[in-house]
Amino acid sequence: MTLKIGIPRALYYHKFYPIWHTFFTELGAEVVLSQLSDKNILKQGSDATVDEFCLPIKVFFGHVNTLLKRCDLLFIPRLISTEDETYYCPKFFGLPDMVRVAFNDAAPILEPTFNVKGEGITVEETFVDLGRSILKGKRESIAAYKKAVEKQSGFQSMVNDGMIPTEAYKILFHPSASNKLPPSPPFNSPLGKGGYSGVKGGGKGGGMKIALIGHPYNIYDSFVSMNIIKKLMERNIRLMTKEMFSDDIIKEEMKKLRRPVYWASGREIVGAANHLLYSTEVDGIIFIGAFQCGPDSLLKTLIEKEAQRNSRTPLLTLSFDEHSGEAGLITRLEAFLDMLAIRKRRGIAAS
Amino acid sequence: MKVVIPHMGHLDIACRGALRNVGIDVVSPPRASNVSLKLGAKYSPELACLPFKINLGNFIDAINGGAKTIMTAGGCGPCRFGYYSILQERILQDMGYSFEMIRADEPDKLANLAKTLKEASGINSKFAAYKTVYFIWRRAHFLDKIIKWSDFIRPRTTEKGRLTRLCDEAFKMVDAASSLKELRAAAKKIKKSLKDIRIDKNKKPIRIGIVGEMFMVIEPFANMGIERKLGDLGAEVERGVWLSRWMNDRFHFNPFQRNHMKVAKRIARPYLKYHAGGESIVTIGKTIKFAKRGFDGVVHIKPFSCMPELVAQMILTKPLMSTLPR
Ligand code: SF4
Ligand code: SF4
Repeated sequence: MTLKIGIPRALYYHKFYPIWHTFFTELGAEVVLSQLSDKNILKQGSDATVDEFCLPIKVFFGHVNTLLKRCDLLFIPRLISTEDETYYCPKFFGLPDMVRVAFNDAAPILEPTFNVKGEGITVEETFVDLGRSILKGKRESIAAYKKAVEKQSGFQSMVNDGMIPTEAYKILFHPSASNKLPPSPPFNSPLGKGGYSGVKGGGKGGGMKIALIGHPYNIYDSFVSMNIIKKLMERNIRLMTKEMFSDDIIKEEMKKLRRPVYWASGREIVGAANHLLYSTEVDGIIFIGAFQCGPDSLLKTLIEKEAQRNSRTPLLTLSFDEHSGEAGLITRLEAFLDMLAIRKRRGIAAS
Repeated sequence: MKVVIPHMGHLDIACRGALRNVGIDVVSPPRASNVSLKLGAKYSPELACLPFKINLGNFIDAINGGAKTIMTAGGCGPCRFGYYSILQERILQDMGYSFEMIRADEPDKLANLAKTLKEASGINSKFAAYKTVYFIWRRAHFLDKIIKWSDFIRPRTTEKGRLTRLCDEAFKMVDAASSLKELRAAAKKIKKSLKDIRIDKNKKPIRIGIVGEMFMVIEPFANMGIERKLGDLGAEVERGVWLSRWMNDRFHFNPFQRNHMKVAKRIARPYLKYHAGGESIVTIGKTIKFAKRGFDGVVHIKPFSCMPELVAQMILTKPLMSTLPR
């Protein structure tokens, strides 16, 4: 019988699924993925957590709940740091522990600890350990890890070429479904990469470029972001997200700060936003944050302060929580797009 | 040089007498009030955690009162504290204030604290810098002791007003002490005066532990004086968080004192395998310990949206269920 490993379609699934999925399937396990987020999942998640948690964590718990009976093992990594410069948000440090508290009937949890900065254990070593916990030898695990890294970098280069990660996931993991999608024409920008628009032809956005900046699980989960990606693409707007930036640009931006941002996502969020605020690559920036997010509460202000100096790219900041309504989002989005369109007509536009 | 240190319990008193010796004159901002909190909150990010807003209020008050130099701590995560000072500096600049900010970038590393001190004070001996940090710790340790004694006496005495007065005087005496010798002399006097308070030795007050986010537990303004209030109501309070203990866990000034962080980690391990920043694992470890020691209750204090304490809060429900004697 093949081992069934449950992966919640939430949080860093939106960034690391290629490496996780490939690692497990290479080792002969079957990956069980939860379904797309919806109201029901959120409801289950909020019931299982303390009210004060941010929306993404609640959604995550909802996903875990749907997997409880469907897998042999739950995969909930303890993400502490995967590079020397940064930490993840403290909520990730205790994620498996919190799941155990919330669901006492939870399947056993696979909880590798990724801690490059603190304990100097490399990502590869952590994966070998992970392989060992499902009874695989070192050599097998290393081979699987190599394949997994390849897959992850294949994914990353698709994103670097301007493809939205959700689209890349479709091509990588559901090739049959992606046939039905319109072709994705990446375009070149001064960055050497660009944005992506799934829909051809006119529409209100008329060839505008917009950057969506925020944690991957806020942007790419269409339920959490209230479908903002689709909403913009339908208006024929080309999109860019922080995952499309090379690390050099982020590094450059960090140097300009009094102190680099020390959260993994946060560093990229601030780096990308600050870079775009002063460049002509996009017509507008939309920052998407979770209402109760600790890091976002400070980073949002940091970015807004930068925007208030004399940046050239307009910034819209949105914060979501359980009670956010779609109507409110559409109103603010429309107003922002109208403003950008007027600017564009007056010729203060992106190159 | 005059510097302002934000309020956090008696941090300012602990620093003042020690830094005076190296030519740094520590000025306390006006004791945080609702007015200054409002001011701090007005200029803070709406959803920043409470200590951020209280700190900022302190800084605004202090600068308005003529301060030119702020001394504070940085950090490198994972919680928000490490980024406080960066953003606060920016906010104050945007408000049009001119000031200088001295920042200890890694307040949990002794060498870094000493280095910051050396740079700020202009003393050129490393030894003198270490000695200064050590003296800060000794002072903090003694101030903590005064609070501990008062927590013991308060529920057992009817002379509560006198106790409060004596504690205030004791703090002033520590504030004035400029050397270890003077500190020891002050300690003797303080002990004697506290012994003078009549207590009911047979009384068995209910016992309540206090755990939670560092700032919230040790800063009376932030927690609305909960420690004293519970004592006045007749409960014996024991804190799980102390400034001097935090320092000793990291700097090991007293090698014989238990490393409370390590102990908490061990106790909490079945429930939280990894320290999630802030005091999270201490919160869990100490709560279990209090429960095992037969305490009647534990108060967990955390500011809204605090990440480490939210993790602790979520997990606390479970250890409590299984360890509380019923
Ligand atoms: S970074 Fe923000 S949104 Fe993500 S888990 Fe932490 S608090 Fe929640
Ligand atoms: S421990 Fe909590 S309240 Fe304190 S700085 Fe960190 S996030 Fe804020």
